[in-house]
Amino acid sequence: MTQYTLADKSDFAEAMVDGITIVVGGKPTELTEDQVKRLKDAGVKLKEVNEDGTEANPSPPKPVTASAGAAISTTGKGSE
Amino acid sequence: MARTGGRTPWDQGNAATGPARVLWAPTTVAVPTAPVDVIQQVADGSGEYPPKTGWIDFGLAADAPSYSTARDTGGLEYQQPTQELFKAVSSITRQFTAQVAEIDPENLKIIENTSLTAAVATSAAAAAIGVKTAAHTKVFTGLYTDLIQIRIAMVSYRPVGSGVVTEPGPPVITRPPAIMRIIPLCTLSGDSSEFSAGRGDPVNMSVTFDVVPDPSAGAGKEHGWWAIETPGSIAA
Repeated sequence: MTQYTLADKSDFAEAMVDGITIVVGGKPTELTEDQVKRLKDAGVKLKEVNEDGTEANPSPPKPVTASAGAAISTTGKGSE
Repeated sequence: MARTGGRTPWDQGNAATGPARVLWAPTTVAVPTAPVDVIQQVADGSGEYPPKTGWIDFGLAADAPSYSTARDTGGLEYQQPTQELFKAVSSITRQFTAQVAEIDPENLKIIENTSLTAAVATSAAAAAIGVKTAAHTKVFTGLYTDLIQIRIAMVSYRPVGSGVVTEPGPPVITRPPAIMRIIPLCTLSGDSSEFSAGRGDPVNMSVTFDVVPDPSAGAGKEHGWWAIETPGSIAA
């Protein structure tokens, strides 16, 4: 079974299903597909996590693209 | 409109009436600087004026909201005159009372001064009949020492016939001008909120807020502002 915590941006401080309480940043909780569906039907946003609480499917890093650096003006005159 | 009425002139274009729309927003929402920061000023295709992101309607009310602005003054008394010569302001108090007849989690969070809510999922299909339950939301109530700060906005309109604002549409809509009171920062007051659930009566709770200074507003603007909409056309 996949493990879940409550998503940080949930509208709720806690979510409860079948006597199980899930909180933001709490201990990862194993949930069945049916429990996940019922929680989502109740408006709960869940986050899939690993056993150590780290995000299970983090979004891939954005590709680094080269960008032109800021142009440095060399036209200023020093004090004479 | 011009003042008319002979020896006792008046301007009916300055009249106002209810019902009022009352909204609130958490302080994570930026302080509004114009009415359009709170609600859409032009109706959408369905004729609705939706609130802007973060603003929430208190909605139904079984009584009218009320607003008060009050001050305490003290006199400077001298030995010689038998009357106070000068007046000094010792405190300024503004309060707003919203009436809440939509008993939903968002409104209850304000009334109960809490942010703790829980979503409870419906029971499993295999659950025994004695423990089957519908999905529901819990709003926890408890002890607290700090009061939540929120923003409040009240919108009411002038009576029909006292002025016209023409919206660009489509469809083109005409409506009376709006009057808004924006309170950038307030907290629950010490007044109680109570309700009774009697037969034939709507459940309604009043909740009173003390206006507190918004430190970012600048001198003389700490308690917010009124916005008086001018009759005319909103450009297409």
